[in-house]
Amino acid sequence: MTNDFMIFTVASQYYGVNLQDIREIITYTHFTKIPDSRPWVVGMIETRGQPMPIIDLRIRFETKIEPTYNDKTVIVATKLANSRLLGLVVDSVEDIKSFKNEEILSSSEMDESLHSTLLSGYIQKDDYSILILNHKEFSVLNDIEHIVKPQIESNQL
Amino acid sequence: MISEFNMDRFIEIFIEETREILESIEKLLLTIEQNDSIEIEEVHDLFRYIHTLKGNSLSIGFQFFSKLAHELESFLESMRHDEIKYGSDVSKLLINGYDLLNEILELEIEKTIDEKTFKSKTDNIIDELTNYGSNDGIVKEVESEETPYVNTEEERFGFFNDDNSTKKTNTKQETETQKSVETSQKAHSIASSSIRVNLGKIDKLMNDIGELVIAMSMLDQFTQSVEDSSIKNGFNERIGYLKHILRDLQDSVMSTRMVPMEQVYSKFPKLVRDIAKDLNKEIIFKTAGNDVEIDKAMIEGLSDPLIHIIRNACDHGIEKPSSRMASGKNKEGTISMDATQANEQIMITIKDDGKGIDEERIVSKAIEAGLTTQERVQMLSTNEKLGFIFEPGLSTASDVTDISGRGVGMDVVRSNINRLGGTIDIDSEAKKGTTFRLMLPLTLAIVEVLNVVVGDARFFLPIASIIESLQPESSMIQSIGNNNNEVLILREEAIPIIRLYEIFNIASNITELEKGMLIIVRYGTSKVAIFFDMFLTQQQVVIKSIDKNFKQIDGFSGASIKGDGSIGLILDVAAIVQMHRQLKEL
Repeated sequence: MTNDFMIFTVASQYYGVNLQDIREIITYTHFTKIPDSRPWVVGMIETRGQPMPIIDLRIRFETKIEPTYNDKTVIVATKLANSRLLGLVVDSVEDIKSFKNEEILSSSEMDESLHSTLLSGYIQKDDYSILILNHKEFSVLNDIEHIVKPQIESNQL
Repeated sequence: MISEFNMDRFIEIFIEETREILESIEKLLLTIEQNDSIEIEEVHDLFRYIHTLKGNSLSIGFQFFSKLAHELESFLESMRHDEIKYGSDVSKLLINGYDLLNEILELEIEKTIDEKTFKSKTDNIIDELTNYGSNDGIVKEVESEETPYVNTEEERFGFFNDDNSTKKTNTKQETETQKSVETSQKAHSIASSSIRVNLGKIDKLMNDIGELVIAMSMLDQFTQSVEDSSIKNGFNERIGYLKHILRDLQDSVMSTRMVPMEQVYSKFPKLVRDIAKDLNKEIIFKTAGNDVEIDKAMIEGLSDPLIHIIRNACDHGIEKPSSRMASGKNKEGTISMDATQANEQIMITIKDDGKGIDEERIVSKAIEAGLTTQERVQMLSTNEKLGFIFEPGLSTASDVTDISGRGVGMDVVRSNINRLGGTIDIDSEAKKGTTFRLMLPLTLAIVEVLNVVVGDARFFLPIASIIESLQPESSMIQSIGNNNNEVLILREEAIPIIRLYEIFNIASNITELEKGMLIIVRYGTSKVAIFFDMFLTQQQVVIKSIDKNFKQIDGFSGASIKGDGSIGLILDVAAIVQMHRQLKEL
């Protein structure tokens, strides 16, 4: 069994997302900020008539890169559970590559500092490595949910 | 006063609704059977469906149907409390119950059901439902259901007492086909001069018009950037014409979705009458605003909440004639339902002149249920205390009755109303009565908004909620309490001020109230003044739900796409007031 991955870079590190989970690649349009959200939730854009939240992976992975948004900014629209969409800001989209299942190593063997909860696995080659985003279960999605303040409290007032 | 209502018509509405709900139940049951396990969410859903069926059928006098629904409800109640654990026999039992519901429904529609028929059909299953887990002979009993019970009415159909089982199924199927033909013929004769159109098609039409509105505002924006003033004026003139047509088109499509409130009211007179009879009470039911029009899509979601409220009013609100007279009231209680339309909103008021709600009792129940604490209660207003009745699992009725009082009612009411983009509040005075007020948007599709600015953010504020706006002078502002609560004194009224940049944590250069704008908005029955930097133009936007790709975002009811293709967030006044209160409490 092989899987196709879309490979992109964030701060010179390769990341991959299963090709089936990619909806489209979008160039930058104006983000509408969401008040009081996590720093990496940079806003929303319209895609196919619906609002889609955007996460900047450069901020999420705590890279030293100063996030700027211009014509060269690339957004990868990914599919989550329940046909939800989430946009990821990355540095650049590289390629589509196939890997055998056994080439993908478990994220539990990974270094803690690599935000292992955000990743589902990795691929180690001689001269490079690719981190696979754990994006279906998405802890990144949880990141979005956390921006919502607890509802229960407000009901109790 | 109530005009004579057409029974056939509202039975028709009921049947349509019931079939829809039964469909949902079927889907759910099949999933449960397939997975051979049940999620707690599914139990809740089933319970709610069945509860709704029970209420609706009671309101039009389908007593047998509602009786069976009641039994199923009790069973599900035990499942909710984990007194009954799931097993494959449970799903079988539920499906049997579901089938029987369908069968009883058909008999009710044909009016060919009586106590005997009902008993013969349902005794076994009711027995099974009530004694589940305590009896191992269940399966046998189900099979023995086939023992024919002959009664003249059934003989007419002639399939229950047929011994040949294959033949029996055939006949049964035939009869069912025949029945459905009959029913559809009945439906046909009732709907004469109108055609039925799937609401989905109208929604699509509505959406397309929404896109047209966006394209229109793009063109408008572009025109404003044209330098040559004669070309610009020429464009503007024609755009004005186009806008006019577009508005008309929008209105006509909208009107296809609208139906008079009368349709909502139609099921209540009978409901009230029957309950009053059951409880030996005398209740007069009045309606007003029968011609006020409401979005068809809203009726469905509105039906259950209203039934719950009316039932509560009959059951717990209105007193018995004797005790009414003892307290110097008319012996007949009155429940009135009123609809008015103003500012693109519909307000439905349900008022009874009964004994009111016992505030202390609500509070002690709320504490008992762990919803609040003794200390916290001290700080709550009457309105907030009464608001606990909208919390899950809070029923003040001491007995579980057929009419109300399982504590499912009011939380379902609130969540249903919220889902429609509306709000509900309650007002009650001991011995005088209780009033529920529902504020609903006129439509679920389009909203008129004002563009407002806070720091570098821009939001949409629904026009419907706005009362007025002003730039305050410092003499109009006062501080009260030590929590830095500011109020605006306007015509001798104190209106709480909410600084939006505080709520949303937005960096804003304008923090002096005198330099920005206060927009006074309606919140339930009271007012609040929301502080913005400034406001811009007014426009119509098509509402897109945020939670399609997202969770709900606190403080916003939805989003919309602007002329330039970017997203605009629509402010939710009710949520903002809640957030403000939280902020001030900390």
